[in-house]
Amino acid sequence: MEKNFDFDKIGKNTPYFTPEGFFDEMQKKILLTAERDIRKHRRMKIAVITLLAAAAVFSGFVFFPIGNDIAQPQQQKLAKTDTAKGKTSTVHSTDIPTYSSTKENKDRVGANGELQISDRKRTYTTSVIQSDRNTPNEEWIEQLSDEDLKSLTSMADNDEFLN
Amino acid sequence: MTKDETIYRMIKSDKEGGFRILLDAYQKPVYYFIRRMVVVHEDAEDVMQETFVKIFLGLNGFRGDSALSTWIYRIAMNESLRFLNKKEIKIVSADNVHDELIDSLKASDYIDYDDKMTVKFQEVILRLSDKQRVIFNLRYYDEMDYQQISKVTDTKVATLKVTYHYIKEKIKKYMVEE
Repeated sequence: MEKNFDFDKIGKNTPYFTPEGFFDEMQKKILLTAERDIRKHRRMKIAVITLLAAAAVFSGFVFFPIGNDIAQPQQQKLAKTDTAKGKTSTVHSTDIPTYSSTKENKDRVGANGELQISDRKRTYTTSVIQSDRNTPNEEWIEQLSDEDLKSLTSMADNDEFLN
Repeated sequence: MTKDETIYRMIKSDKEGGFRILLDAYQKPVYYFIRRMVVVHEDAEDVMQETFVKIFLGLNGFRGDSALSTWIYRIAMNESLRFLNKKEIKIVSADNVHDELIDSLKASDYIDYDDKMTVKFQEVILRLSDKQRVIFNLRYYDEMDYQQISKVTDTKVATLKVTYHYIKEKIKKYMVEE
């Protein structure tokens, strides 16, 4: 070999070469592969988006009933608390403060005894309330004289709506 | 306007049309860069295809901050080194890979054995490490300046200058010895 190697003697030459028409074929191959890869990427993108959408819908189904379940026990708990206080309503006791106030209940009892509705009576049965409401009518009827009653009944006999 | 700027503008307006122009401009130099790295034509074909598909898919993300050529060669370099690393895993060691590359150079299709000097020159280059080969090939064959090679290989310009001169001396020594 030579004692001093000169790069210029070799220059940029290499022993490598390619089959004829290689670069034209290669260009077609690359373009085809690139297009196929783009389609693959698009399909992947669509699949990922679909998967995410499905996951979102699924999580909606999963978490919504749980959300309702969380709210329901609270309501049930409140209802139980009310029942424990001796009330039949499922409405929370704080929502109806007028009924629990003793001062207001006392005010409701009339001075002349016309509206002698006690707390217990008002809360439990309507029949009791109705009988209490009939008391003034009965008292008025009791105060009527026989003549007045007779005239009233005669009026009733002529009333085409009553007959 | 430079060749790269024309291609870049073309890609922005028509991706596929621009890519065809890019292929016309870079197909041959990129093939020979890869071929000098992997030696065997069929391997170079596979690596080149992979390189250009990656370039095509990455075109949307390319913002033109670096030169198009730098970006293309960087992908080609990475794909070539990835191929060699895969081979290294199969063959166990880097030395064995270099031996195998030299063997391929001695008995492979599409190599002109009549030009003994160039074959020998390639054999000497194949004795260098992968990174040294990248630096030497980019500077000597692709005639890149140190700034460009620095961007492709992520190496400081000063280091590249020293490395290139060291490689040249090494090649000279090998060529004279044998």
